[in-house]
Amino acid sequence: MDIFLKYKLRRMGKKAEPEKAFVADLQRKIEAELGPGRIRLAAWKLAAVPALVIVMAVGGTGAYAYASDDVLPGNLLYPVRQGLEKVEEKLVIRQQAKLFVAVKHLERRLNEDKVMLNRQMNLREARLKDFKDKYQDIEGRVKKIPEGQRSDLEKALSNVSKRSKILEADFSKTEKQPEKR
Amino acid sequence: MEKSKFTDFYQSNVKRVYKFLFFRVGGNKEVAEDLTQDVFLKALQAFESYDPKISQTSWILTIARNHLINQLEKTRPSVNLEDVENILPDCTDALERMACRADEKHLVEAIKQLPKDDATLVQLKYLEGWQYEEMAVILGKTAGTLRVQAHRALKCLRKALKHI
Repeated sequence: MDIFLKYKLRRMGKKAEPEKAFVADLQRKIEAELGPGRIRLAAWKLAAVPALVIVMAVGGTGAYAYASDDVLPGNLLYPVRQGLEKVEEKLVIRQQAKLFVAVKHLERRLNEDKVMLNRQMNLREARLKDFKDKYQDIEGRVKKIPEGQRSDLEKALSNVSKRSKILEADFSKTEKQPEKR
Repeated sequence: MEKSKFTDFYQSNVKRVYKFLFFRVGGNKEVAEDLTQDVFLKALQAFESYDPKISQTSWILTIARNHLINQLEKTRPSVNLEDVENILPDCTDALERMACRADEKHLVEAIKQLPKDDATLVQLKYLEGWQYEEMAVILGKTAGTLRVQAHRALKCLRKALKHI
């Protein structure tokens, strides 16, 4: 009999509980007070789930296309990466989470640019070194030619040297003034 | 404690705080919601100084009680603030508002007929969901004594219901 009475009392006590809408609304206010970091963490968790679903669904090639640093614009798999990102955006329902997925994709574009720039710089350094080595080699061989017979060659080499200095100056300007985003 | 853990703290304690305030503002839902919001926003400001060794419930209900006293002093000077300070509920108005069905109205009538101590115990334990150990601190009795008293209170309540 006590059990039944306790049940009735507790059931009545449940009427004194707050409404779910109020609890959720107050939680949003609290999270707004806590700041964007807290919200970002929760939303990033939401953004990570569809990414995982996609990667698991498409298997090895898809996973490689989605995650690898080697898949850059110009790569055959780059359209696969773009397609997977579109699917990822569609999988997320909540507006705020959609926006976080979109921000994540912007960050992926920046990472791609950074990889391309690093590769470009590495490539340029290698090409510059190669150019200098070859230039010095040719310069040495031209000097071995008798003086009266090498003026045209010296002129041609001098033009090449001037052009390389102009190009180097242009490149230095580009490095100092990165493209504004 | 880090503010980042506040959301978990909020989720664990919001119902408790709301119920506490609900039964002390005559069952007025809107007032209870406003006060609950105030209490948690105050608690958020003070959260970094909260010592986890103190029970979460004790800490947040102390804030709720103090906030309620301040509000009642401003708005309802006729309320017995001593009862509020002692965390004793004023059950009548709230229960009457909550009781919609006939059996609930009988239950409220039966609770009103209990001696004040028994009515307080029934409300704190079964309507608000306090633990015996928590009630022992505010009522100045041991948890064992309160268990026995609660059992007797339920017996009296059952008897009162039979006569209604």
